[in-house]
Amino acid sequence: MSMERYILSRVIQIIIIFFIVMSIIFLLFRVIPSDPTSFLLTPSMTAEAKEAIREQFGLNEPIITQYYLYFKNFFHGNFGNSFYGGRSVMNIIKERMLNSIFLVTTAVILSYIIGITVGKAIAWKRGSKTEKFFVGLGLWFYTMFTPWLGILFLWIFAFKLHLFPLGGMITSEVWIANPSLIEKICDLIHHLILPLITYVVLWFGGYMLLMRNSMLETLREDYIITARAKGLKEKDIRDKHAARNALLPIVTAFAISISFSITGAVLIETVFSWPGIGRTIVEATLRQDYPLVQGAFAIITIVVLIANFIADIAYAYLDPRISY
Amino acid sequence: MDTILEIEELEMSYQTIKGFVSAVDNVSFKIMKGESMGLVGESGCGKTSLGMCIMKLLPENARIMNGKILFDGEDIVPKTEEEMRKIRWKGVSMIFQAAMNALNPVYRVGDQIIEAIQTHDNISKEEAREKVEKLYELVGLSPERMKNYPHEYSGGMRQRAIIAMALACDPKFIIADEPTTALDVIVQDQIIDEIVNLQKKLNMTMMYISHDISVIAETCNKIGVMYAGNIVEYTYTSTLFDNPLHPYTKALMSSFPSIEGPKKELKPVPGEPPNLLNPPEGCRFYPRCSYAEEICKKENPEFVEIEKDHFLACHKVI
Amino acid sequence: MIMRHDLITILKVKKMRVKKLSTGLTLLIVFAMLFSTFGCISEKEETPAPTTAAPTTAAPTTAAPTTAAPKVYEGLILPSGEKMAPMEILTLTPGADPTLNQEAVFIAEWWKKIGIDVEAKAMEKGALVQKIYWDRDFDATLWYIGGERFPLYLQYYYCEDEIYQYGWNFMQYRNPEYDSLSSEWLSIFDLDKAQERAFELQEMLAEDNPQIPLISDTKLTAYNNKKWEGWINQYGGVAGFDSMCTIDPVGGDTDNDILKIGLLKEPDTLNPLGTGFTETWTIINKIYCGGMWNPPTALYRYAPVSGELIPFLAEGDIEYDDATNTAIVKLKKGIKWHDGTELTAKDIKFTVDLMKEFEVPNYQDSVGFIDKVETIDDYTLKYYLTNKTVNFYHKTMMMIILQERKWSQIAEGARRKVDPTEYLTQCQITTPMGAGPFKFVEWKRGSYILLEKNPDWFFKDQTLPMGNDKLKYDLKVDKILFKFYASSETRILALKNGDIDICTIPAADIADFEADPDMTILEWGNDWLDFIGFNCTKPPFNDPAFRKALHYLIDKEFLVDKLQQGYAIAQYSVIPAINTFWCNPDCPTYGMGMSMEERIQKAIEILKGAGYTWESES
Repeated sequence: MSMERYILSRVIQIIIIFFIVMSIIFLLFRVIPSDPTSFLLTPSMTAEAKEAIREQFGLNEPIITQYYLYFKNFFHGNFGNSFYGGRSVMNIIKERMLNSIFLVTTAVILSYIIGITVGKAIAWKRGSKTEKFFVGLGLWFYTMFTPWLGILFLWIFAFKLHLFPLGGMITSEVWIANPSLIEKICDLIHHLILPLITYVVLWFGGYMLLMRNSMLETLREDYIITARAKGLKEKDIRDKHAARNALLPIVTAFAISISFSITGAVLIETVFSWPGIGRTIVEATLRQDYPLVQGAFAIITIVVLIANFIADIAYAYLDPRISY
Repeated sequence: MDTILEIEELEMSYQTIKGFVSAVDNVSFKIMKGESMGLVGESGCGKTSLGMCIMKLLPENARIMNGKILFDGEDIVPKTEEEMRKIRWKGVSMIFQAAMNALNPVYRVGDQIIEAIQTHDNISKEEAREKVEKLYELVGLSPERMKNYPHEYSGGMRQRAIIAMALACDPKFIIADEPTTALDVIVQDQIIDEIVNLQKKLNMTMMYISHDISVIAETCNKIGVMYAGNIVEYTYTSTLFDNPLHPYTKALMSSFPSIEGPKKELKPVPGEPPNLLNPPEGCRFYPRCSYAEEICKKENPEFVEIEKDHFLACHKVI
Repeated sequence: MIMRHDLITILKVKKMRVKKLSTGLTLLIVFAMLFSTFGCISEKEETPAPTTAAPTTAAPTTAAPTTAAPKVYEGLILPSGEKMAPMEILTLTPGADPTLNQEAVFIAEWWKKIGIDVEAKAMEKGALVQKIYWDRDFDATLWYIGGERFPLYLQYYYCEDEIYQYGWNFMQYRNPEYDSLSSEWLSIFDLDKAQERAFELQEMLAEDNPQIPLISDTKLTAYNNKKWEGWINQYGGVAGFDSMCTIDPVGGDTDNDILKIGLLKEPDTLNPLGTGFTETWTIINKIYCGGMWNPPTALYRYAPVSGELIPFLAEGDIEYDDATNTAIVKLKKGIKWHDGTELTAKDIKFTVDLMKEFEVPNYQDSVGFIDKVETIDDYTLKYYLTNKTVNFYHKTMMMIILQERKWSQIAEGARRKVDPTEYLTQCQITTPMGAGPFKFVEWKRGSYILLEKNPDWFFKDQTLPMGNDKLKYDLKVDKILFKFYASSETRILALKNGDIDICTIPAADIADFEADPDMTILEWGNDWLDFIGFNCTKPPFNDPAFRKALHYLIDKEFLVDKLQQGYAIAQYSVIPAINTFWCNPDCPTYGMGMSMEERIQKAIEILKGAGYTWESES
């Protein structure tokens, strides 16, 4: 199969999966025996007002009509408005997603790079004390409870040492004083560091162990012996021949982790008061803000599908044996 | 004639949980420039280990316990990894078995050969490419194939490419480790012819490792028969075929069909090779030897030159 | 939640081929996400065991050996002869409301002592509301009530009119006498008479026990005493409207005194028509005049501390004509909107008309009974009411006031929409226009909201009496910065760090703050109370004797002392005790001071008298 046809078939697959997922999301939120308007009631509302609210949210329609409208609106790029405050869901997601991407993508890429570099190095030095140390360290951090580490870091570095701000994305006092662009960027980075470190500390271990395992398997391959027989430099054997092949499974892992990390960021976002999409989803789910939850899940589904799609393409690029 | 490779009392062991496994034991032989030596023996007899010893490409748990490997007059046993790196491919190169993953699947075949050349010779990529093109022509491959990946080659083409790669740095000595195993018979034949041709054309000095004595008979002018870590007989091919002395050699010759010559009944070598973790005292072959005597159980026979250029380790014959 | 599983999944699948991966994993991931979100919900369904010592140890078992072994009552049999079916006390999950959840667990334990098969069942808020308000499918539930200075709910929570499906009277309490007394109460304008009637109503409820008031927790607020002083601890909380207008910076007034307040919830909108959230109103009631919750300050307001209705934007008292059900309200002169234009009677009339035209849900109790409003002149309004109701005082006079100039355009846009009300209540107000003491400056979503002082505020430097003192609204706060924190832990660190000046703290942290010389803690009574509501249509909960017996079994002192470590007040009326004017202090205090053994005796006695028996007796 040619690459073009492969891509086309994958796109069709993606659309089908997307439909299935969106339908599941739609149904899941409607089978819960709970009424979303319960959060909006105030004593001031008359019976008619309460009925009007249900009507306004389309909750009085038969479920099949709601389902139809759900997809119809979706194709018009309209996720509707949040039940709370009536803001356009698209705006909320856009804003929160950007914040999350800023933190999470940086964190994932950083932990990925660190994890892979260290994993590569310790696999090369297998059996050494360094390897044992890093494997232990990686596992220790990896199994650590996220909020606990986050709060510990906040307490030490922000509260005791005053090196970093106590969470948040920006220093309000700086931003209300008409800062220059550079000041704004510095402030953002200042806020980014601590959650970023927490993230990287918690996550690099996973990538590191993954890379180490993959690398150890690759090192047993015959072409590594060929490379050594050819008299190549250690570095070339490790990086060009071993790591390049060991990376293949990690690429897939990377695509998956990008999508996982969006939701995985919930805990970090909460500890560090980071206004991201993870927190938004949890809050919206708990108060049954259907439009927001649906919108957020739709976006995340799209991100996951695209990430996987990119991983497939990247895999094909990295591994010439894959033909479609 | 110059000696390219001289091995003296080489002993190499693998360290395992159960103890040392002596894979190469007390091996001595010489290879002169332009000679081609075949190393034959059953699987697990230590022939590949011996080949790897010469490149010093040993797994971590392998250790050269004793002996010397004189390559071009220099003992490579004490050499460091960095010193070895320079000898590899330039001094000794290797033809790997194509059925194995000897070529890195993610790089173009041509690039993998260019990489070898550029590591050792200070020439531009373009020059290296031209050289590889010539090598491709030499081994009977179309130079256009350089840009293909290993998986796009057939088994035979891959083997040719591996041969081209082994020749890339004009090595003084080439080890061919079962280069034709797993190829179908016709391709196998073509490859063997190719190697024989190249050997003549380039006056290659080589060591050909195979379990198939008939293949070795075609390609090598000398044969070393290896059994359980020992070389038991070493002489010219013609001598060996005319006058095999070691019982194992005899058994081996009758277990393979001859490509040329009259048909005869094939007789497998009876019994199993010994466990090298705990090899039998005395001659390692005696449990399977139909000529075994009392002394064979007690003493390992010495490897001696019983006539000119004919070395043998057997109590009975002496 | 997800973080642990995902890399394990990754590790497992790393050898898989890509094609399978993408299809399978996409579904897997989305399911994992959904599952984890819903997992959270369902996980909480199980009610945990009480953390504090179980109430069983409270009295009888440890009693001296001379006392007879306590009698065990098992299998309560109703007067009808049927054995009582197992019952559930519905409550919120510990995550949503730990106090409510724990109360239910304790109460279930106590009720078990008289042979009732009872379990506490925790649910998410939406599901609980559905069960009690929508489906009316429950035995008893833990819920909360309050938040209003004038407790209008004394009428609507218990009246027959509110028994319809979504109505407030989810307990379905029916008492025609109560109904007539309470609706009459709504038309009593004389405060003393109204108070008397309210007391009477409370007594009726206390006697009938459609609901059992439990406790109100005491809120703790800590503030940085090196930054601001003069906080007013009053009804509705410390950091309320009056505090913000009157506190003083420590160490002298400057031009840039910023008050920083840490909040856990970001407001949903700045549209005063679209939100009923108390958190949002904490912010927007500084910008607008009037509104909901946190005693609003509009034409009239409640006086600090005393709670008396006093004119604010209005001048003088309401001239109410009983004969025609009309009222004349006069407006102060010179009240300016934040854009400098004058706030006149036209704006107020406009607001009432707008609410009526668009049937804005949150203000129906303010305008529902108003026939029309006329502006006699720029400073005089005449209201025509369809019936006499105190809502006019406590709702209409405190209703939000919108600027005609700004909102007539919004209304114009709304009229062209399919659903004008939806548009009006949900449209995004990016620059709120009010006439309050603070102007809106900026909302950086996810981070902060900034307000700045309105130097032209009509009430600036004026005073209101507070007890024997006078409260001067001198607006020393130049800016208010509301900062949003996602977790209480971080917010507390921020307070200690000086990033914020004031915030609510959990009781667990009190010692820590007491030790800090920079911090002062203020305790203030919550104006909400927790109660148990019964399904008064379902036997045996329809039997007042049965409900009374259950009331006796609830040890409120235990809940205060043990569950809340003393930071709570036991409640005996449906109006929290902190609402001193309206709360009847003489409601019967079932079982106060009794031991559990005595409580059980009392309950048994009542039940026996009402014809209940026990399987263990016969």
